[in-house]
Amino acid sequence: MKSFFVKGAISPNVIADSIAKHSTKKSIGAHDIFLGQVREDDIQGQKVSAIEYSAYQEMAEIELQKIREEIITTYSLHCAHILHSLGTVDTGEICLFVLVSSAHRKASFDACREMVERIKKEVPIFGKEIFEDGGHQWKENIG
Amino acid sequence: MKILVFGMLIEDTGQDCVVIEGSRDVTGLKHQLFALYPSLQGRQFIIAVNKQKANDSTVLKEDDEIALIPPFAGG
Repeated sequence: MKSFFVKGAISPNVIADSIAKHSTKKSIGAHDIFLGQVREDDIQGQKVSAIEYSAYQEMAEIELQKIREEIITTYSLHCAHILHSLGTVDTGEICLFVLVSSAHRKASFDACREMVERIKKEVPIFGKEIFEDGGHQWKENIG
Repeated sequence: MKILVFGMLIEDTGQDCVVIEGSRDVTGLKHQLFALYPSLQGRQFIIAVNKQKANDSTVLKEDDEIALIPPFAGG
Protein backbone atom coordinates (compact mmCIF):
# COMPACT_ATOMS: atom_id res chain seq x y z
CA MET A 1 0.00 0.00 0.00
CA LYS A 2 1.19 3.52 -0.81
CA SER A 3 2.37 5.51 2.22
CA PHE A 4 0.60 8.66 3.36
CA PHE A 5 3.96 10.17 4.29
CA VAL A 6 6.63 12.00 2.35
CA LYS A 7 10.04 13.08 3.57
CA GLY A 8 10.33 16.85 3.99
CA ALA A 9 8.03 19.51 2.52
CA ILE A 10 5.32 18.65 -0.02
CA SER A 11 6.29 20.16 -3.36
CA PRO A 12 3.68 22.21 -5.27
CA ASN A 13 4.58 20.01 -8.27
CA VAL A 14 3.31 16.92 -6.44
CA ILE A 15 0.04 18.75 -5.79
CA ALA A 16 -0.27 19.88 -9.42
CA ASP A 17 0.45 16.35 -10.70
CA SER A 18 -2.14 14.92 -8.37
CA ILE A 19 -4.80 17.31 -9.69
CA ALA A 20 -3.80 16.59 -13.29
CA LYS A 21 -4.21 12.82 -12.81
CA HIS A 22 -7.94 13.33 -12.23
CA SER A 23 -8.65 14.73 -15.69
CA THR A 24 -9.46 11.25 -17.03
CA LYS A 25 -12.06 10.65 -14.29
CA LYS A 26 -15.04 12.24 -15.96
CA SER A 27 -17.67 11.52 -13.29
CA ILE A 28 -15.95 13.99 -10.95
CA GLY A 29 -17.57 17.43 -10.81
CA ALA A 30 -15.83 18.94 -7.77
CA HIS A 31 -12.51 18.81 -5.94
CA ASP A 32 -11.71 20.41 -2.63
CA ILE A 33 -8.14 20.85 -1.48
CA PHE A 34 -6.63 21.67 1.90
CA LEU A 35 -2.99 22.67 2.24
CA GLY A 36 -1.36 22.97 5.65
CA GLN A 37 1.58 25.39 5.70
CA VAL A 38 4.16 25.77 8.47
CA ARG A 39 3.48 29.12 10.14
CA GLU A 40 6.14 31.48 11.46
CA ASP A 41 4.69 31.66 14.96
CA ASP A 42 6.13 34.09 17.44
CA ILE A 43 6.29 32.42 20.83
CA GLN A 44 7.37 34.82 23.59
CA GLY A 45 9.69 36.68 21.26
CA GLN A 46 11.06 33.54 19.61
CA LYS A 47 10.27 32.95 15.96
CA VAL A 48 9.51 29.46 14.64
CA SER A 49 11.75 28.65 11.67
CA ALA A 50 10.65 25.06 10.98
CA ILE A 51 8.69 22.09 12.31
CA GLU A 52 10.32 18.71 12.62
CA TYR A 53 7.59 16.08 12.16
CA SER A 54 7.76 12.53 13.46
CA ALA A 55 5.08 9.84 13.78
CA TYR A 56 4.26 6.44 15.15
CA GLN A 57 4.23 5.65 11.50
CA GLU A 58 2.75 2.16 11.47
CA MET A 59 -0.19 3.24 13.63
CA ALA A 60 -0.55 6.53 11.75
CA GLU A 61 -0.85 4.71 8.40
CA ILE A 62 -3.64 2.52 9.84
CA GLU A 63 -5.49 5.54 11.27
CA LEU A 64 -5.15 7.56 8.06
CA GLN A 65 -6.42 4.64 5.98
CA LYS A 66 -9.41 4.27 8.33
CA ILE A 67 -10.26 8.00 8.17
CA ARG A 68 -9.92 8.01 4.39
CA GLU A 69 -12.16 4.98 3.88
CA GLU A 70 -14.81 6.16 6.33
CA ILE A 71 -15.04 9.60 4.73
CA ILE A 72 -15.16 8.21 1.19
CA THR A 73 -18.12 6.07 2.27
CA THR A 74 -19.92 8.78 4.27
CA TYR A 75 -19.79 11.36 1.49
CA SER A 76 -19.88 8.96 -1.50
CA LEU A 77 -16.62 10.45 -2.75
CA HIS A 78 -15.06 9.45 -6.03
CA CYS A 79 -11.65 9.39 -4.32
CA ALA A 80 -9.55 11.02 -1.59
CA HIS A 81 -5.83 11.59 -1.15
CA ILE A 82 -3.79 12.49 1.92
CA LEU A 83 -0.11 13.34 2.10
CA HIS A 84 1.72 14.44 5.28
CA SER A 85 5.33 15.43 5.80
CA LEU A 86 7.85 13.72 8.05
CA GLY A 87 11.16 15.33 9.01
CA THR A 88 11.94 19.02 8.72
CA VAL A 89 9.57 21.44 6.99
CA ASP A 90 10.55 25.13 6.94
CA THR A 91 8.09 27.96 7.53
CA GLY A 92 6.19 28.78 4.36
CA GLU A 93 6.40 25.21 3.09
CA ILE A 94 3.51 22.73 2.78
CA CYS A 95 3.25 19.93 5.35
CA LEU A 96 -0.25 18.53 4.66
CA PHE A 97 -2.10 17.96 1.40
CA VAL A 98 -5.69 16.71 1.30
CA LEU A 99 -7.59 16.34 -1.97
CA VAL A 100 -11.15 15.02 -2.12
CA SER A 101 -13.20 14.53 -5.27
CA SER A 102 -16.94 14.08 -5.72
CA ALA A 103 -19.72 14.55 -8.23
CA HIS A 104 -21.00 17.78 -6.61
CA ARG A 105 -19.40 20.50 -4.50
CA LYS A 106 -21.21 20.03 -1.18
CA ALA A 107 -19.78 16.57 -0.58
CA SER A 108 -16.26 17.80 -1.36
CA PHE A 109 -16.49 20.84 0.95
CA ASP A 110 -17.88 18.82 3.87
CA ALA A 111 -15.58 15.83 3.38
CA CYS A 112 -12.43 17.92 3.13
CA ARG A 113 -13.14 19.77 6.38
CA GLU A 114 -13.93 16.55 8.26
CA MET A 115 -10.85 14.84 6.87
CA VAL A 116 -8.52 17.62 8.04
CA GLU A 117 -10.15 17.85 11.49
CA ARG A 118 -9.86 14.08 11.99
CA ILE A 119 -6.23 13.97 10.80
CA LYS A 120 -5.33 16.61 13.39
CA LYS A 121 -7.23 14.86 16.17
CA GLU A 122 -6.79 11.13 15.58
CA VAL A 123 -3.41 10.46 13.96
CA PRO A 124 -0.20 9.98 16.00
CA ILE A 125 1.93 12.63 14.32
CA PHE A 126 4.20 14.81 16.46
CA GLY A 127 5.73 18.20 15.74
CA LYS A 128 8.78 19.88 17.22
CA GLU A 129 8.78 23.63 16.56
CA ILE A 130 12.34 24.76 15.94
CA PHE A 131 13.15 28.36 16.85
CA GLU A 132 15.51 30.63 14.96
CA ASP A 133 17.98 30.50 17.87
CA GLY A 134 18.07 26.70 17.78
CA GLY A 135 15.74 26.12 20.77
CA HIS A 136 12.52 24.17 20.43
CA GLN A 137 9.08 23.45 21.84
CA TRP A 138 6.65 20.62 21.14
CA LYS A 139 3.50 21.54 19.24
CA GLU A 140 0.07 20.33 20.40
CA ASN A 141 -3.13 20.45 18.38
CA ILE A 142 -5.90 22.17 20.28
CA GLY A 143 -9.65 21.85 19.77
CA MET B 1 8.94 -5.81 27.67
CA LYS B 2 9.80 -3.36 24.91
CA ILE B 3 8.20 0.08 24.90
CA LEU B 4 8.29 2.46 21.93
CA VAL B 5 8.53 6.14 22.90
CA PHE B 6 7.54 9.09 20.69
CA GLY B 7 7.86 12.85 20.41
CA MET B 8 8.44 14.92 23.53
CA LEU B 9 8.38 11.82 25.74
CA ILE B 10 11.79 10.83 24.36
CA GLU B 11 13.12 13.79 26.35
CA ASP B 12 11.92 12.02 29.52
CA THR B 13 13.16 8.50 28.75
CA GLY B 14 16.31 9.56 26.90
CA GLN B 15 15.66 7.06 24.10
CA ASP B 16 12.96 6.08 21.61
CA CYS B 17 12.76 2.49 22.82
CA VAL B 18 13.07 1.29 26.41
CA VAL B 19 13.07 -2.25 27.76
CA ILE B 20 11.59 -2.82 31.21
CA GLU B 21 10.81 -5.89 33.23
CA GLY B 22 7.15 -5.94 32.32
CA SER B 23 3.76 -5.45 33.91
CA ARG B 24 0.46 -7.28 34.04
CA ASP B 25 -1.57 -4.32 32.87
CA VAL B 26 -1.34 -0.68 31.83
CA THR B 27 -1.74 0.61 35.40
CA GLY B 28 1.26 -1.47 36.50
CA LEU B 29 3.26 -0.35 33.51
CA LYS B 30 2.58 3.32 34.32
CA HIS B 31 3.79 2.83 37.91
CA GLN B 32 6.97 1.22 36.65
CA LEU B 33 7.56 3.96 34.10
CA PHE B 34 6.92 6.75 36.63
CA ALA B 35 9.45 5.16 39.01
CA LEU B 36 12.07 4.94 36.27
CA TYR B 37 11.33 8.28 34.60
CA PRO B 38 9.71 10.62 37.19
CA SER B 39 9.32 13.52 34.73
CA LEU B 40 6.78 11.42 32.75
CA GLN B 41 4.26 12.09 35.54
CA GLY B 42 3.91 15.69 34.42
CA ARG B 43 3.27 14.69 30.81
CA GLN B 44 0.09 14.05 28.94
CA PHE B 45 0.24 10.78 27.03
CA ILE B 46 -1.73 7.72 26.00
CA ILE B 47 -0.55 4.14 25.81
CA ALA B 48 -1.21 2.10 22.70
CA VAL B 49 -1.09 -1.69 22.70
CA ASN B 50 -0.66 -3.31 19.29
CA LYS B 51 -1.38 0.04 17.63
CA GLN B 52 -4.68 0.55 19.47
CA LYS B 53 -5.40 2.98 22.27
CA ALA B 54 -5.41 1.12 25.59
CA ASN B 55 -6.94 1.96 28.97
CA ASP B 56 -5.61 1.43 32.50
CA SER B 57 -7.07 -2.06 32.79
CA THR B 58 -5.76 -3.35 29.45
CA VAL B 59 -3.87 -6.59 30.11
CA LEU B 60 -0.35 -6.80 28.68
CA LYS B 61 1.54 -9.73 27.20
CA GLU B 62 5.31 -9.93 26.80
CA ASP B 63 5.20 -9.78 22.99
CA ASP B 64 2.69 -6.90 22.75
CA GLU B 65 3.79 -3.80 20.86
CA ILE B 66 3.49 -1.07 23.48
CA ALA B 67 3.89 2.62 22.72
CA LEU B 68 3.87 5.86 24.74
CA ILE B 69 2.16 8.50 22.64
CA PRO B 70 2.18 12.26 23.42
CA PRO B 71 -0.41 14.81 22.15
CA PHE B 72 -0.85 14.89 18.39
CA ALA B 73 0.40 17.75 16.22
CA GLY B 74 -0.30 16.71 12.65
CA GLY B 75 -1.46 19.09 9.96
